[in-house]
Amino acid sequence: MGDQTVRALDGLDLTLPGGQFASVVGPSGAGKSTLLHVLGALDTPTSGTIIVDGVDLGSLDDTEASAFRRTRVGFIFQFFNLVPTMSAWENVALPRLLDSQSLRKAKPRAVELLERVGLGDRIDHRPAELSGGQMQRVAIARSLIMDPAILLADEPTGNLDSKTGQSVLELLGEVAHDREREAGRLVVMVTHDAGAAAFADTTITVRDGRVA
Amino acid sequence: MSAPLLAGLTRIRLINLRELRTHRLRVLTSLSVVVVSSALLIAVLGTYGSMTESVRQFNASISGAAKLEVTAIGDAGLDAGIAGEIRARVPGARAVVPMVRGTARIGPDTTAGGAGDDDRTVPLLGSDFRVSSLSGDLRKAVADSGNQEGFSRDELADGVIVGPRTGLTKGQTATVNGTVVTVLDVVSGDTLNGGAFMFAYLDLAQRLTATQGKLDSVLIVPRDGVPVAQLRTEITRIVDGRAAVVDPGYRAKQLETATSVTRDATLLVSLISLVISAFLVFNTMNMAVASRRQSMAMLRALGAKRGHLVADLLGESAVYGLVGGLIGVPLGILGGRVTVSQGSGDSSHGMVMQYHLPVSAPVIAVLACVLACVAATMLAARSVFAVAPVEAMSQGEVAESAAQRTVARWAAGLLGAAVIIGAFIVALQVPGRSAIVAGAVYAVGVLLLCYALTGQLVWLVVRVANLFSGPGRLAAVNTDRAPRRAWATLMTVAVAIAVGMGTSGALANMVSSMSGSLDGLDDPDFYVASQPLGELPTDPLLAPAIAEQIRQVPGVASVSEGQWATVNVGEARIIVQGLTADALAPFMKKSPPEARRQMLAGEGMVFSKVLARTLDVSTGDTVRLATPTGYRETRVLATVDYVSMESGTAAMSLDLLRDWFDRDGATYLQVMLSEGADADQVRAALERIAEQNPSAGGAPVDVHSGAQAIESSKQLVEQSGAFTVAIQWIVSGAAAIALLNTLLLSVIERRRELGVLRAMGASRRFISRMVLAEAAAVAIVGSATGLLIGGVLHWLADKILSATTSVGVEYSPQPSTLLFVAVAMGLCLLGALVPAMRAARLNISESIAQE
Repeated sequence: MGDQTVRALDGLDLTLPGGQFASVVGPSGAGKSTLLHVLGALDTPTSGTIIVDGVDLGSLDDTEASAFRRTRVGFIFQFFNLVPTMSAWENVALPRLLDSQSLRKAKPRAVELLERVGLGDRIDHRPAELSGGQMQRVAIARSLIMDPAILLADEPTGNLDSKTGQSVLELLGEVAHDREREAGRLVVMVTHDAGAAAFADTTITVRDGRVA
Repeated sequence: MSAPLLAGLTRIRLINLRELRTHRLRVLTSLSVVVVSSALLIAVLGTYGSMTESVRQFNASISGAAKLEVTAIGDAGLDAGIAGEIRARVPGARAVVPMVRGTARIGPDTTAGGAGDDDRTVPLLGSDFRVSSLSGDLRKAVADSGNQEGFSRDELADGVIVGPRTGLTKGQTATVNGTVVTVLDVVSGDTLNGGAFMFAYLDLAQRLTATQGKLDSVLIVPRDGVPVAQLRTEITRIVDGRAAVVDPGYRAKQLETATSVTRDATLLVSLISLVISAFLVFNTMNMAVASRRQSMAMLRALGAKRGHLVADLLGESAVYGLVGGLIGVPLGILGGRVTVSQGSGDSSHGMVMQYHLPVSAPVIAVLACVLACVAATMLAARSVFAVAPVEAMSQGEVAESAAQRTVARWAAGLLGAAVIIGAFIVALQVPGRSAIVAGAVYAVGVLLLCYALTGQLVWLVVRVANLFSGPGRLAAVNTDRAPRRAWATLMTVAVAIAVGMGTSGALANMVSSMSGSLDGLDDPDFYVASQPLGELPTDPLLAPAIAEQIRQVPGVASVSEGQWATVNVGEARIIVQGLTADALAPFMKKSPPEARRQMLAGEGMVFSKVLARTLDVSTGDTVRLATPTGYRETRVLATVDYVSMESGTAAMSLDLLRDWFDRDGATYLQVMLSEGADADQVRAALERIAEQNPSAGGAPVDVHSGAQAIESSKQLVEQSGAFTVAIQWIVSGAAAIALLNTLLLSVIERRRELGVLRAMGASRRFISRMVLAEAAAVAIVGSATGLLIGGVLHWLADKILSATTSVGVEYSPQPSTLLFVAVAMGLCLLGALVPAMRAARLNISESIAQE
């Protein structure tokens, strides 16, 4: 950062199988978010190898990294990051649009996903017309439309009340244990909330850039 | 449509265009200038296209199947015997049709309007029975009136056939050019000059135009299978320099040349307007990239390719160009129609101008707008490459990176400098109309250079803001955090000032230089001329007795005779002035003494620089001119600055002009008063004499002062700059709105931050002063930048105008510059008042709670 070198991750060695819900916890500045960034090819490590779903992320150029994020990874952000001018189903279908596919053809799947997350009656609503919990559900549905092997969630309940947060966590659990997907799906959630971490199958504690 | 293309269009529709709704003012501001650019282009192309197309259609409706025209060299016409010679010696000519073309002045007591109205003028055409060989509308119009054999010789001797817009009725008696005629028929339809025309049999037409034994031209219809080139060669040999053998469409080409200066100057203004609209679109897109950084990062995190985001931005700007261009088309058509309808029929020749827009014009205008907007966005779109997907993980506005995009800035800077140098080279080295593009090229170069100097300019704003103590220091911090916005705002101020300075300064210099180039025009106390003020007196000749009568008027010290004549040199048309030793004329003042002496002695001619360029000659060269009395050789004695008319202007001895062009007489007189003479009394006497001595064909004679003559010339130049003045105000208005919008946005986007400041104890006054300090710093740096750019633009525009008008336009800074600076700074501060008040009145709790 600036002129200083900060080792956000330092010799971290981790293997995560599919089909589980993993939470990453640790004190502030431990490297949790950085771990998420490198897993999602948002950032590249200075050294080391990251293999995600069989792909060596370090060998990808920007175009390949974009394609990886588009098709192999689903993101769920703390502040939802929905496009305010698009309806719920359009937001869900957005990754397909980014993949140069027809929005209209993506609509049935988008509606199906919204129904799955309990928003079948809100498909045409804009983000401004949805509650925080509903927006996060839309974001979860969006993360699933490309059927990725991995979902990365950065403090998904950080902006929600406890009851809504709990329902979102339950949904993430369902997604991880999705029996429809043969290979299973890995959900990695970064959180500073111990209660949220308890919903996960596994908890990984990161401290000073390493797995504790 | 391919899936990727459809997906791209969908992205643009759903993400880019919908987002525009949240920035309506910014969008409208940019769009409005694009609309203006498009409308200007259409108006210019429509107006000048209508002029040339109207002339072309009129000529085509007369010439019909004719492929060649033998036309008079000068205003004296050509010998009617030439038609007989061609008929006898050119077997390849199926028809040799004599033509008389003049003006019919229909007296007020015989029009539908009744007594008291002014004369009505319409084109007068004359020919014989051979006119039926032409398949044009003239033949049709004449044939429609029954065939000419139906009219007796006596009827044809004083009978005319007219169109419906003359206001005459069949059987009516009318006074035309002082001669009583009978209307034999009124033909229907408006294909020939909109129905405003008069046709007379050859003899009568020659009498009405006082050109007995003369023709204006001879139209040649070839026999089937005879090559036109062969026919041209044969006829040229027979004519032997007594006339010009041309394409029947040459009049339209001559008109194009005659109007080229004003047309091209207006096109230059349109081009500059296009550059400015591109700049405003660039600003809009630049700020859009900054404000959409978070959402772009999110899209990148979701897997969007950088290329897609860039393409979407370019597509969005193309929509600006397309929408603005399309809206501008009907506005431009409306403007063109108004201009054309105001000018139609007003000329002394009764030519009806009909609106005509080339089919390609709307396409050109819209395409130009789209290309300008897309090109302008390319620089802004590069910022997409700096957006990292990881930014999606953080909330709130990401501060712009202070790091320079070094390669892009250097490239822009080098390219900008090269383009500016190129503009100077074009303006200083390229003669003629091509120099006009230098203005737009300079504007592009300057914008590129200023983009490259973004860091330096913003640094200046920060330094200036720091001068305003506490609020200023915070304003400096804000500016440093948002360099893009600061640059956009200061450049808007700079552009508004530069355009105002450059265009109005150049226009003012052009007016005074043109007056200077016509130095001598106002030396005579009075002119007595065969054409009204504002029209060059090329014909007809004044009545011979008029000069002597004027000499007898008490108070008149001297009368000098002169002639202006139009001469066809091939397909070009030049104006020649015949002078005597006592003449007072710009040519006399500008010519070197020895050249003047030789010219008056008939040893050569003095050319304007435009004419020298047209004929590709220089001082000392010998030129061969075709005249009604045969080929003549003459030496170019000197070339001087003279305001461009037609293809150029020349001066020669009046005696020589009369001899070569077979025109004895004068078309104007210069009257000098004795010392102490009563000017009003003398003028009244001159007007009485003028009324009593109309010119050939009853044409009225005009009396005006030398001061009126030069004032009229100045007004013509100022009229051609009317578009320029309009552009200034439009750009200034757009700049003011853009400023207001930018400053308002900066308050809205920093709502939370301003709320925190207020929570920490900053007073309302402090907050509002902070916003005002930012605006003031931007205004000061923007004004200084605008002064520099505008000063150079002013100088460059003077050089461009010198190249295109061939008049040396002297650079002279204008005091009005200070007015532009004051207005720009005032607008800046005024525009900042509302945002400042809004910032000061924010609800603190709501502002802090806002995400």
